[in-house]
Amino acid sequence: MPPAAGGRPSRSRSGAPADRHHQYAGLVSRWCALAVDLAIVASAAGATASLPPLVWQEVTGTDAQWLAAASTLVAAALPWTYFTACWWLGGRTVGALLLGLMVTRPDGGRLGIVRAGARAAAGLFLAPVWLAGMLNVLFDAERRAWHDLVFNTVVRYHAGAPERSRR
Amino acid sequence: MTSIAEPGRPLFGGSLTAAASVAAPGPPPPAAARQVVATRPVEGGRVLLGLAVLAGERLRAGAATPRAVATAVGLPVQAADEAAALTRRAGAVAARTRTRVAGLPGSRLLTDRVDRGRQRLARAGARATTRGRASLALGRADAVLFVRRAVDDGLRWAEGRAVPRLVDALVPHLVAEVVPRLIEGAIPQIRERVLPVVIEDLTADENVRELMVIQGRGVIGDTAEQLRSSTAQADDRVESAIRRLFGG
Repeated sequence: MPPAAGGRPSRSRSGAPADRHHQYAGLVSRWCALAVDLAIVASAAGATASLPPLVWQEVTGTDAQWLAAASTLVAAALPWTYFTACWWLGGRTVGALLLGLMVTRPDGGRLGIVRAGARAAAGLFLAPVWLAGMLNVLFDAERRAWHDLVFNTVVRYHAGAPERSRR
Repeated sequence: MTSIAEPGRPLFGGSLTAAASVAAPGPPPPAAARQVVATRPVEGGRVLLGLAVLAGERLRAGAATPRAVATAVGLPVQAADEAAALTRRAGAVAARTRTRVAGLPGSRLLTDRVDRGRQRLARAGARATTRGRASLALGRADAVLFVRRAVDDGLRWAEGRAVPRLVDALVPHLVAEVVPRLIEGAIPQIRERVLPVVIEDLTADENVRELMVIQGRGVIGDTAEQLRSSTAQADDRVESAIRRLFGG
């Protein structure tokens, strides 16, 4: 079991170990990562839903309703698949990777597929609650949102990220 | 057997004054001299003498060769020619006399003396030839040394005075007029022929490609690091502001 995500605690500019609170990602970083992920998912879902029927029509000259339905289904499942796979396999989505974040269990372990899938489903189907629950990051000692409390997860700054500022 | 002068071939190949007058700006040589110059082959001694005369005229700003010099040079040559002719005539007379007296009684004593005289004459000629060749060699060495010193002096003078002045005078002209024209003429050729080849070589070079990839990764990595640092600072600031607002 790793001591922390990435195996190395973040340190302050003076070289002293950062306090526990600042090992966890704050609101701005998480929203920025979420914005990047939403842009990626929206683009991918739109392309998945529209491109296959369009290509089919251009090639064969006929409309394939079954293909349109299948594409729409895949596009609808794509966000959940994306977040679940990213959190399960590496603990990081593309947005989290860009912002240097990582979703782990409180003990630093990676999420299982069930926990990752449930977390993704909650975020997608209860998006307003998800966003409102994000405000809890500002007040929690470990900067945990409501869904982090529910699914017993934390979002940490990744060890490969640059040193974090201290208050 | 060696003779002093070969029949029909004078020591300097003819009249000196005639040879000098070919290049001299003075009065034209007489018709006989022109005939001699036109018909005889070019010989080294005559050429050297002609060069000496030309050099003298150059030094004296194109003036004709002084009469005294021409006479001084011509006298030994004329004497050599006369001596050669006299020797040939003497040899011919001696040969005829020996033939005539060869049949007389007691002529053996006379013909032997004639033969010994001819041999002594030949030896004297050989010695003169040897000394002449040695003198020529010494003269040639002196001439080479003189030419080398003259060239060295000329080069030193050119390096020290002429070339710097020439360069100083030429540089403004080159920079102001020649170089812009060269660039103006060369730039289109460089654009059309050189740059495409250089770009193609650079893009095909593995080292350059690797360098570009590394630099690209560095730029992306630096940008990501900056973004992460900025958002982390924003996290703290937002949190601090909210806690101050709500008194947390």
